[in-house]
This record gives sequence, structure tokens and C-alpha cells, in this order.
Amino acid sequence: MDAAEQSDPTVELSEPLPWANICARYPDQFVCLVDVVKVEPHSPAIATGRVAGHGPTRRDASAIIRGDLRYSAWTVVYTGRPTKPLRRPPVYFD
Amino acid sequence: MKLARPFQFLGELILVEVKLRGPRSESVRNLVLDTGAAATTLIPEVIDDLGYSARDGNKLSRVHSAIGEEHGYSLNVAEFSALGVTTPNFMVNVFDLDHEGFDGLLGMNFLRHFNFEVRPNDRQIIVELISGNWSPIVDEK
Repeated sequence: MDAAEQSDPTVELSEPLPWANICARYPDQFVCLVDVVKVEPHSPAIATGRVAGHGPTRRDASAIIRGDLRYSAWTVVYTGRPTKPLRRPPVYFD
Repeated sequence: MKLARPFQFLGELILVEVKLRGPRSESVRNLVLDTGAAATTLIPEVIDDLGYSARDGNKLSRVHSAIGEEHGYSLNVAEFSALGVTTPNFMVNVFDLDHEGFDGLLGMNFLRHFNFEVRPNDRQIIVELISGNWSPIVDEK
């Protein structure tokens, strides 16, 4: 359990923000979003969302909401341009 | 029965929306459609958010990468929905893909149960349901 989870966290949500505003406010980091509205239904592209957390890693972004049992649905996305190459190694099950 | 779902390009990769349910939470994530991947893969952070841990894993997996042999594990997700289709108790490989732009790979252990057609110019994937333990998503939000 990390520090955020130990301190009885409560999530403070932003107001609903357009995706462009989220990217501008939290550049090049991961954001944890709730109440997400997609550009079109079932598209990966986000139109608006409310920010519940953010940080340099996915775990940082969702750390607080994971400890707040009022929330049971969220997503985590990156606001910048991905720079790492696709890793697609073969998998073997023992 | 045929279903149509939109996708988004991430560079030249095809990104699709996937909905997951675990003991702690539900999460909507973006996976790369990968017909070259035998196993659907999720990164560990997604598994953690859903409320699973490595202790819930079924068996170990070995992954041969550029830096040598790395280890992951397989795990059954309570509910897995993608491309308009949902299935319970779906097995995924858990492995760190170390990429900012997506949360895993939608592999052939999911895709082989349908006929599907990728229409890049339309940015749509058409799925034809065949049979089995696969249901169209009722929630058409």
C-alpha cells in the first residue's frame, strides 16, 4: 500500500475538461480520468473528462482513486506524444 | 450478426477501446490490435487498478525480448469487452510493455473467435460474431 492509500485519501475531481485542455494543464504525463465522454461511442479518442489524479507514471496518476472506494470506474491515459517503440516480444507459457 | 467499432491510429498502430472488469474496479483502456500476438497482453498497472495482483496469476510466462528473457504471468480477467463483444473470465498475459500510448495488445486469443474486417480509411473494424461464449455488449453507450 502506498502513502496515498494509507492516508484515507479522497479524490478531488476537476471540472469536466476538453481533452485539449487536459493536455495543456497536465502536459506529458499520465492522467486518471472519470466521467469520460468519447469523441464517438467506443472510440479510444476522448472528448471530455474529469481529472482525478496525474503524475509521471500510471501508478502515480491512479494512486489516490485506488484508495477511494467511492470510485469504481476510471481510465488512465498519457497526454503527450509517445516516444517509446512498440515492444512485441513472443510469449511462452510454462 | 455484424458490429462496427471505431478505432484510432497511434502512428501506424491501430488503437481500440477495451473495457475491463475486476474485483476492485472497471476500467476502459486502449489496446493495440495485434494479429501477430498470440496472447492478449495487459500491463501490470492495469491489473493493479482492477484489483488483481500477481498472486491471482495462473501460470508464469516467459517473454523473449531484446534484453533477454523476461517474465510475466497469465491471469483471468472477470470480464473483458472489446470490439462490441464481451466475455467472462478471459485469460490475458500480464507483462510490462513499457509504452506510454497504450495499455496492452489485443491478440489472437481474442480475435480468433470472430471474423473481422479492418477498414483503415473508414477507421472502423467490422466484427462478425460466430458462436461460443461471446456476447454482444448490451450497453450501447
